[in-house]
Amino acid sequence: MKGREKLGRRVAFSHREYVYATRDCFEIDEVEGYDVTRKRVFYDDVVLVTRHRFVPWAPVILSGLLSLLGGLFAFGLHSEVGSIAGFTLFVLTLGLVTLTVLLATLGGDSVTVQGKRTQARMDFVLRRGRATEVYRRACRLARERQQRLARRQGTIQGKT
Amino acid sequence: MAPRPGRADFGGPCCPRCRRDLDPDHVLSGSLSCPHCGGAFEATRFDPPAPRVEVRAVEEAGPGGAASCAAHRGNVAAANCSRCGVFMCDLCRIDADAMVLCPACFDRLSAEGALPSARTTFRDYGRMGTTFLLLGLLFSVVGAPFTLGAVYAGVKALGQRQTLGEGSAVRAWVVIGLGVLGTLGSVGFWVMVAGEGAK
Repeated sequence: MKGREKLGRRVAFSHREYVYATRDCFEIDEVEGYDVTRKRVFYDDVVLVTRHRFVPWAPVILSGLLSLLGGLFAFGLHSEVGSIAGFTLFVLTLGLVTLTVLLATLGGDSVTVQGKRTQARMDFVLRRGRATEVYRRACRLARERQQRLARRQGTIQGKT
Repeated sequence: MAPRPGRADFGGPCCPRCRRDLDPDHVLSGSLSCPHCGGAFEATRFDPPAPRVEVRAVEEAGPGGAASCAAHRGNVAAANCSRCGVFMCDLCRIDADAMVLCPACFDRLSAEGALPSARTTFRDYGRMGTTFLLLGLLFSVVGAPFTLGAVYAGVKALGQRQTLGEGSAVRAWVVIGLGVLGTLGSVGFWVMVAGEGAK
């Protein structure tokens, strides 16, 4: 693997985390403002890789509120003027409502890679395929490295 | 209130939903549900082999090949420190950034920030430069301090790229170029205004 490759990210209220795959480890860049704190989960330290579904409540509520506001404005504009402006806003609102429904029903997938001392977590909203790909890749990278290490040490202890 | 296991104090396998510790003996590969929160998740378990280092004793090596480690007199030295040259056994050697280092030199170089792979905190000058540049463009003719800041951050970002081998050089150059243009534009505007005023 040349350099490092971005796998995914997680956006929290106060910080963001970017996860990269490198030759030896998963690198997690925690960004708070302009300060970056780097953590690593080495492939030969991985103990658990998980994946679960979640509902991204913040985007759901935000887009829900925006669609509500848009709907009210569209209704007001339509009754006031009855022109193209109201119709355009109505179409935009319809898009926001669709997005809200999609977010609430399909949600997101979260992949975590847990080591002995650190963990990497990535969220994939409306991107289940990518989450599956990253999950499989994380498992493969850890498995390959641990099997190689076990072979080198003469004892196969890995159980995946 | 007990501290919640979070990103700062991760201590081994935990539920990805509630982040409470899981009993490693009961974590298996497949579909699981957390015993604490009941949330379902899919898991793949790994049992990483414990690291094992083979060290030869000085007595076993025989009289010909028995330089001993500086820290462990009973162990055969397997390498020299790339920095100070001290003999060290496989217990002591640390491979970092294409160098073989003894623990003391590793600590020293890490503290000095001279080992890119050991650095864990740094500043994202690329993003900082972009922010300064946007502020400079926003403030237009009075934005010279920001555009100068963008040039400074862009240069630092290029240096960081050389040290760490990551970050976008294109972005840094764009920030520097636009920062210089913005500064020249802002300064030129005030020179023209001063010239008009003098007339």
